[in-house]
Amino acid sequence: MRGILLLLALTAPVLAQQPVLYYRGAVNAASLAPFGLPNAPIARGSVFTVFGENLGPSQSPALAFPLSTTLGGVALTVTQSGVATPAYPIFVSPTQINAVMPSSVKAGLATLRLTYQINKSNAATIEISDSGPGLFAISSGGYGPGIVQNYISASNQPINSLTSPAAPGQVVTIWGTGLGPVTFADNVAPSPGNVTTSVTVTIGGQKAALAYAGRSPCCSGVDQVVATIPSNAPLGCWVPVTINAAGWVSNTVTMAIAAAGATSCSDAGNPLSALVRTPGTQAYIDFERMDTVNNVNASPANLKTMDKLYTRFYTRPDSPYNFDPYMSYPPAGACIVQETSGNAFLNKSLRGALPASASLSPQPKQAYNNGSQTLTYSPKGAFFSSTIAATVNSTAVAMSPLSSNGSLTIHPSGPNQTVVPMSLAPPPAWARPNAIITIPRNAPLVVSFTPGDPAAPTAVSLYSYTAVYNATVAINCLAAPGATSFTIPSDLLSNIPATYGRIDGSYANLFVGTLGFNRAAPFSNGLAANGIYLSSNWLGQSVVLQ
Amino acid sequence: MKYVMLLLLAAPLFGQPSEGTDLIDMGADVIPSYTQNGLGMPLLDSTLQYSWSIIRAADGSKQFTFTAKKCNYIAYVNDPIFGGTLWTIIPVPVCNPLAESSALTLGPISAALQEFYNYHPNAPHDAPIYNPAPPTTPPNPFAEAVLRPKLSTVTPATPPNPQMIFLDGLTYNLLQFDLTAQKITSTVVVPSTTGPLGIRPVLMGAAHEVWTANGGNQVTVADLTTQAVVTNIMAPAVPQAAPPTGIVFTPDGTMAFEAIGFFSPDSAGNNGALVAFDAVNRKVSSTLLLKNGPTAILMAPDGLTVYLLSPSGQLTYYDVLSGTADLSLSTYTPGLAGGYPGSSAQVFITPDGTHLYWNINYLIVGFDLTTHKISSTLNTGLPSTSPSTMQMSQDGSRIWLTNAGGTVAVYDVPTGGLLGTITADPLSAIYISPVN
Repeated sequence: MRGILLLLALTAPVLAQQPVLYYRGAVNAASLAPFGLPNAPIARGSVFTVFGENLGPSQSPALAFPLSTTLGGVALTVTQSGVATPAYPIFVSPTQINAVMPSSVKAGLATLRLTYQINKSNAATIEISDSGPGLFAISSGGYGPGIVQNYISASNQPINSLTSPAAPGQVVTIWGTGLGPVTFADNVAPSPGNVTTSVTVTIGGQKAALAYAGRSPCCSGVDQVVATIPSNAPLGCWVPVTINAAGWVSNTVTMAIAAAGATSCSDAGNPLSALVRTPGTQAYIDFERMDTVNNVNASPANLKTMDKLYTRFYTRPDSPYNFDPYMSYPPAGACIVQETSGNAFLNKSLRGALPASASLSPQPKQAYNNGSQTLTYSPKGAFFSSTIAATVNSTAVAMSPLSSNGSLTIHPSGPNQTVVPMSLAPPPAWARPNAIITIPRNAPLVVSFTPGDPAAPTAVSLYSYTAVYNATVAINCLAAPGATSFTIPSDLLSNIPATYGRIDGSYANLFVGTLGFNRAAPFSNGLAANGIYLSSNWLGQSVVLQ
Repeated sequence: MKYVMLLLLAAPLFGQPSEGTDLIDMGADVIPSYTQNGLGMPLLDSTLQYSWSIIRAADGSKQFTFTAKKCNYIAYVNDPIFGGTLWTIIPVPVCNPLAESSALTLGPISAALQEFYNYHPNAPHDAPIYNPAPPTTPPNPFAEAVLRPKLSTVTPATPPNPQMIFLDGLTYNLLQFDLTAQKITSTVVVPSTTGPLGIRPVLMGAAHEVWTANGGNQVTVADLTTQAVVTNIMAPAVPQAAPPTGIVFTPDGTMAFEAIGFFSPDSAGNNGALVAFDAVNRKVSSTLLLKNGPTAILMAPDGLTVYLLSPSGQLTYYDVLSGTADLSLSTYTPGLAGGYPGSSAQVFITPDGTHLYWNINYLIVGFDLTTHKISSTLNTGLPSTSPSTMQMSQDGSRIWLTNAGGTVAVYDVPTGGLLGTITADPLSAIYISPVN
């Protein structure tokens, strides 16, 4: 339990100046879902986090029940229709506050204010909902491995990890917040009992039997959900877990599931999995072809074909909780949903991406050859990522697309020179309509295709960026080799914002692609003990989300 | 306390007992009924609203009076394409009285009626009186919801409305010009020749209501469809003829804000005002006096914050929901005097609501609204003494800045770099087409 509390506290890791609440800075403490996204409202009775400046003291005082409306000189009020209700701060620092939203507030827009000593902050608009589940993650950022305990015995409930997987049929405890309001006071030790809202748990795309869904007796605002891993749940290192409370769907966290008795997880046929789970120096080279029809807010519609090259040399940390948003694929048949502020398709990494400090500096010089032309470059940053060849309506814009005999030379003429032959995985066949694809978010989305390579998995991805809230939602799904369709559940679609009739930089794209796992080429040199080259070939189309 | 609450709830529905009568008990409530909106989220379907009272008359007899009505917010229609049933929000909900027999089956009324008979059972009890309320229009529960664009879904952008709306500057005419037909399609005579003006947004269809400021204390609302002035709204707390800076609207068109700079400070040292309007009912809802005279006003794309810039270098955040402006930050740029200069400069907010960009002569200044710091300062290389105009593309990815010599600098917002310069005719100004 102490470990859990510590992990929960880490989800939140600062006199006289005015406290400043950041714009869109109040979020669910577990999911950190960006303000404005469908699952972003702060639930009644949940733990929420406020980011800003000059918010509180550098040391957070110890807590005791009943919780006070002031902690370390910090107080928060939630005002609705002129009625101010105090929240209960449970962690205070100069830049971040965690607090419990009282169950007594009402759903709707509200004004949040903070007072530190005698200094009052600016007002910040928040949205409150009856339910709004968020699942705590090891990362403290709402992504990757969740804080999930494998139930072995009453006294032995280790945290699920890559080296401590759960087995199908095993009971697990999932930690979160925001299931719904409670009938008792929010500042006293919670009474155990299920919340009155309907709760469902989905593990690896399968509904899990529920044993308990309610407050943890340990902590105000913190929920624990006890569920049994379905017998047909897929095995894998990053099996997605979501919770639906009264129609509100949580962020997606992952857990490791392996056969009973296994001491580590694995992902058969996925060479990237081993790379993410292995510490040390590594290289990741990803070559993508994206063939995208743009016919939403584009006049006239156009077809862009782009060859994109991504190379990076880095050191993977040694952790049983490793996760990489670009390399940790779910098991076949499942999807991982990622939410982040910013435009993750343009200039912002998905949450959990390795920091620049993990990269080899400087990156080695490289020479890309598309079969007839050579591009030699020395990456100036932590990696090289560029569209190196493109055609728009069949008119070449940059280098010629990769032909059949391309290559990448790492460290040319240097002591670690390594030549990686480059070939492209064949694209799937996906009949894209001439008309605009409209995707209702309240129904499962069935995508049918013919695999480009029957021995390779097909990925289905839906990316959406909404400018007005400056947030990206990415749904990445994996279909088994040979599969000819994939269904994205409506639960996951419901967390994507709708498309607006504005030309403001927002977009939504649906992609179907061949992931060349079966063609992945490992390599090793003095720069990277474990290197891998992977190619993928995608068909995409802009879509409207309704 | 509960009793007080009941009184508060009941107050709009009942008159006070007449003299000589005693109010023994009363109650009222609204019982909502929800459906699922397909996303699994609750959607208000209907409400049952009831009230009752027990009164002891001067003659000792007791009267039980009750009323009940149902308000529907959603209509169900057949899906003409896929079959099944679709729900649609009723634009103007209507409440209709319940039949008396149905009202009596409502649990709270049934219980209260039992209480009525049990109270002094030996005293005379008049027959229950049912007061069916006439059909009414309840408050629109979606009024707040539509403030947030995410809660509405619309079809993707249709070809842009090729209209230009402007004041002609000489004849007091507010004009609508059709860029396709190249002709004036609407003319409304308004008191101002200079504005500024604001076009009130609508969620669907083409906007047709234009607000023009005629000096600080009056705003004219004009309808381009009927080609008439709808009303003039007075802001009495603002000095007459104080120069208006701008008018902005929330994205749903329900609220408007006018920034005004005073010619000279008032007795309290205020140099301007922000007037908030209820744009639906076309009336002033509040006036906030400002220490810093505003030189620009911008609305955040999500409609939650209004930003006010000033030449003194202070940027004020106005929180729309609370109607307060408690955060004021310096936009001082090292090496530059003051802040946003107002005239001969433009300022834009990016569609993601995270940055402001304005020009000070040949410099483009970027301000990060989240971290509250100058994020970029780009020297476009244009001569510093030239007057300039600046525009931003609708998607926020490009900024064009021109000078009197006809040189246009093209600034790439995501990378923060200068893409290049274009030579145009001298004295050029920049206007962007609807698709940029």
